[in-house]
Amino acid sequence: MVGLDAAGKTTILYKLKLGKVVTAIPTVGFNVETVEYRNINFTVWDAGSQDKIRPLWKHCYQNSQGLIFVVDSNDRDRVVEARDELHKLLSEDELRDAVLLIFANKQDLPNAMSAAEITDKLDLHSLRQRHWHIQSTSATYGEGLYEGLDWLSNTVANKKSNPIKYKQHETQLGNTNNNISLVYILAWMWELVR
Amino acid sequence: MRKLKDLMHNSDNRTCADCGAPDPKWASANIGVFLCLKCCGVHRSLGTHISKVLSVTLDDWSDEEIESMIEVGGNSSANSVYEAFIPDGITKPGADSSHEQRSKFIRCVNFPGEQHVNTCI
Repeated sequence: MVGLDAAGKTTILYKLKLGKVVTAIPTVGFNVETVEYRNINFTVWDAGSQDKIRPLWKHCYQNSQGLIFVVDSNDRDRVVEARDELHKLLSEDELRDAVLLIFANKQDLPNAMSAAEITDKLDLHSLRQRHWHIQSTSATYGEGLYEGLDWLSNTVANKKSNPIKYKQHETQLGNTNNNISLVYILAWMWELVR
Repeated sequence: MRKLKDLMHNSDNRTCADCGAPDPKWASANIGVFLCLKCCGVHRSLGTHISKVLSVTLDDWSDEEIESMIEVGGNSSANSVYEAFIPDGITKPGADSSHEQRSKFIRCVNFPGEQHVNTCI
């Protein structure tokens, strides 16, 4: 789970874990907790987000099946910065198979942008080959968080059992085998000609 | 950044503007004060449109944000305005004060006009 600083990541994590609103101070480093919901254990990494510690995110998302990106819906000044960070993350190789859940958080604040507006501002419609979903949330009031986890668990489960995915994988293996065969053939030919 | 760090090292900025805890390394860029980690947590919880919290050491600051801190002139100068009137029943917290005490003071003294954060009555 990542996002700009003060988006509400730690508040979300502990609302899910403890069912209450903790008094969050800026996270320097990260928090990691296992959250159980509908018999699924979500290991959630909540990474600190000040400018100079964002490069550490990559140590948290290795082998992640899902990426939760939290946006402060009330912070209109920094939605462009949020978009840029999100697209930078999505270009990372380690996250190529991760499904993307966006929490449009702080919907309780008076000037919050709607999920539709955030979809537009984050340029989500430009995403290709990515399962994504945006969920309006208010971590303080506990709204929308479990709906987001429902989508996340269903999507990860469907992706696992999706035969198309396996086919793609087989094709890749096939290509690798072809490459190996080609190497053997070339080596054999080299033996013949030298 | 040099100018900002110089300002942070002025003697009046060596304690948190709200609770007096030593060695604050956070700041509210729009209010123009240096804050400790606990008080900046309260500022942050009010929303970035009310108090824009940044770390002096871990965040990149824009030139405008630095200039606005310099313009305010630091904790003493900011507090001479914000703490000019402290409502009855509200006391300035100390470094060891509870979150509730801290939160009440910051909401009522720093941001009394913000309707949805004003819970001091």
